[in-house]
This record gives sequence, structure tokens and C-alpha cells, in this order.
Amino acid sequence: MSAPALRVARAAAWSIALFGLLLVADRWLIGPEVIRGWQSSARLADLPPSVGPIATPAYLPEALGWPPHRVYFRLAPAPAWWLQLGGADGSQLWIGSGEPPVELPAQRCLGDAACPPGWRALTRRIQGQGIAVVGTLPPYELRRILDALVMSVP
Amino acid sequence: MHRHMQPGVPMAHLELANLLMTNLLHSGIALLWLLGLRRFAGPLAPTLWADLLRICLGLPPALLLLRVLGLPQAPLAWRTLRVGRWTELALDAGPLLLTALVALLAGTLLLFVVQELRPALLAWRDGVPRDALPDAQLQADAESMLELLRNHNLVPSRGRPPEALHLPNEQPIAGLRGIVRPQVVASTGLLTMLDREERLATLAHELAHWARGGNLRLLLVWLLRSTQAVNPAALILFRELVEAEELACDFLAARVTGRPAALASALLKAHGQPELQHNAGPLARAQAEVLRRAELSSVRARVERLLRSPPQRVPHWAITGGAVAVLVVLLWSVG
Repeated sequence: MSAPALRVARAAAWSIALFGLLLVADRWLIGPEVIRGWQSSARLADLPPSVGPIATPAYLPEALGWPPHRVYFRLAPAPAWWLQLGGADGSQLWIGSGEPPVELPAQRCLGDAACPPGWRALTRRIQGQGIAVVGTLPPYELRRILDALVMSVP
Repeated sequence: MHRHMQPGVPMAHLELANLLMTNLLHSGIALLWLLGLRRFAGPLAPTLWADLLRICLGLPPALLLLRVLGLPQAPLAWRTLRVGRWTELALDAGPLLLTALVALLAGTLLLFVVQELRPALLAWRDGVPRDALPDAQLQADAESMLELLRNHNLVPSRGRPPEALHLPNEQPIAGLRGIVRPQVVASTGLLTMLDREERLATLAHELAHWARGGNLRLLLVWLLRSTQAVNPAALILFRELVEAEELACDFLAARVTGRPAALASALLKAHGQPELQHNAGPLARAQAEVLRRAELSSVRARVERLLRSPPQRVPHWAITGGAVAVLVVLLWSVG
């Protein structure tokens, strides 16, 4: 290899080494990138374990099917997860923890505002985690679902 | 656990902190890359070294501007440094480290104001002395040196060539001044102490400054530097660039005249003379002596470079272009 070619090769090697050095320093000091913002999936199995324990219903009215139609989760800034269920009769149910995604039509009734007509929300702390059920089902059905929730790690 | 929001830090302040961190990291990486390049790829031609320093100084603010204007960032998985997270790390670092960082930035700003901004403002206020006179011999010598630069394809195709003027001053002074109407000036003090070869080499050096962009480019570089007044890496790059430009022009002058020893001799004669301090007090004389010794150290390095460096060619533009492409990719990956 000629002297100029050797110098170019050395310059390229240094540039690649610096690229790698920065990458390693960043990942070592700061850690892997945490997914920010809401993610959604059609499969419950896509929920990452780092989202924490989730609540699954041991009881559901016959009109509602299982598994959920859609699963929403996020890891940062604070972990949150929501399961969206729907029935053939048009009834809707959301089970979740943490800040709700914008896709939840009645998300405002988890705050200070009232639920929209036909929607209800119940909340409870289960194993130290605030769990909410929000839906268009009658109040006694929501209560039964909430009573029968089982916590498990995805 | 990572925090993604800084409690108590308004969003606008966080954005500003991110921009500052981007600039600090970009300049730091550019400086590191450049030092490594010199270390591993061997000594670079002086013109290439000066060009790369200028690019390393100018690219970070240019990339920052493009980012503000909407330049897409590298995909997250490909980013070498995640600036947002480094900003969070710095803000989370605790009062001691945060204070040290603020002190470093404030100190750099102070150095910029005292050593760069203030002298520039004073020079601007004083303006260019108008006592320089036309000198037929000096003009003829300058034209012959310009012809040599032209023969080596070193003269820009556009731009008005400088006029050579004689400065009636006993101090040994030579320089390029003016932006729109560039002038190469040489003082009586300098012209009387140099022989003909040394005078030609000095003129070739000053004309090389003009051929490399002259004072307009210097002004643009200084403006780029001033946008990074708190950035320690930018401070180092700028000061290194000032020295590197002199070395690059020494290199070009030696190359076109073929007489590096003449330029070395002219440098030693011009800078070896103590400045006249007629009415100065003891403090001013002491300051002048410190400055003179610093200048002597710089001149010694230039003379050694002229006399001892093996002959080098002016690098092909593709070398500079390739280096810039690598640097752009490296900095773009930081976001």
C-alpha cells in the first residue's frame, strides 16, 4: 500500500473508531433508548415486561370478547397501559393504568371532568397500582369486572 | 431510572439547553476528530490543516441552524450521542458538576470578550490608518509574487488583487488589510531591515492570505466563532486556526518562491525586534515584553516548520471534500 493510501486508511480507521467510541460511551453512560410516546398493538403479548404488572379480567359480560381489540402502552415519561375491548352490541370497555391515551373516547372522565353521556368509570388500587375500568356497560357490570381483575406481568 | 422531563425547567429553557449541548458536543467531537486525524494520519499539509480547522469551527453552528430550520435528524438507533439525554444528564448531575460546567462556559465567554471581542471593537473604532503611500517598487514586487501564486493556481478567479502600499512607520509591520479594496502594506521599518529575497517572501506570505480568502473570510470565521462564544472547543479551534492560517501562508509563500529560508529569515528579523515603548509605564512595558515573548515562541515554531518540514504538495480538493463528508456524517449522528 502506498504512503498516501495508508494515511487515508488510517484516517478512515480513526473516524470509524471515533464513531464507535461515541456510540459505546453513550450507551454505556446513558443506557438503551427507552421508547417514548404511545405504542399500540393488536396482541397482548406485545406488551413489554417493563410496562409493569397489568390487570386482566377474570369476568367479562358475554357481549364482550377476549383478547382485547387493541393494546396501548408507553414506557416514558411514566409507564402506562390500556386494553380496549369491544362487544358485538356496540358496548365498549377500557381497562388500564396510568395516563390514558388519546384514543380512549372518555379519557376526560378520569380527570376532574364528567364522563360523556353513556360512559362510566371506576377506579381502584390493586397491588399498589391505580387501575381504572371505563366503558359504556351498566355500573354493576363495571363493578363486577373491577372486582374480578387479576394482576400479572406480561 | 431515566427522567425524561426536568421538573421545574420550562420547556423553552430545555430546548435552549439542548441547542447549547448540541453545539458543545459538535465542536468537541470535531476537535477530537481533528486531533486524532493529525495523530493517526500523520502531519497534514498546513493548508489542509487550516481548512479543516475552519470547517470544524463553522460546521457546528451551520448544522445547528439547519436543525432549527428542520433538517431531519439521524434515526434514533443510529445516533452516536443522544443530545437530549446528555442534557438531562448534565441537569441531573448535581450542583457541584453543574456549577463547574457553568463556570467553564462563563470563563470561556469572559476570554472571548476580553481577548477577542474587545480588541476587535477597538480596532474597528480606530479604523484603518490612511497614511499608507503608493510605492512603485513594492507594487512591482507584489505583482511578481502574484504572478507566481497564479502560476500555481492559487489565486481565486474572482476578486480584486491587492494593491501594495508603503507604510511610513518605523515598526516592522507587514499585513493585509481591507475587505472590498484589499491592500498589502509594508512599513519603512520592515523594508529597511529585509533584503530583496526576504521582502519578496514577505509579500508572497501576505498575498497568500488574500488568496486564501483574505479579510472577508477572516470576518466570516470570526462571526462564526462569536456565535459560539461560550464554547471552549470553539475557542481552541479558533486560536489554533489563527496560528494555522499563518503556517498555511508560510507554506504557500515558501512553495511559490522556492525559498523557505528567506521567509524564515524575514520572520526572525521582523519579530526579533523589541517594540518601541517610548512613553510607556513599567506595567505597559512588562505587558509588551510578555506579548513579545509569546510572539517569539510562535515565530520560532513557524521558522522551524519552514526550515525542517519535508516538502509537501497542496492537497487535492477531493481530500478536503472527503474529510468534510466524514465530519458531516459524524456530527449528523449526534442529535
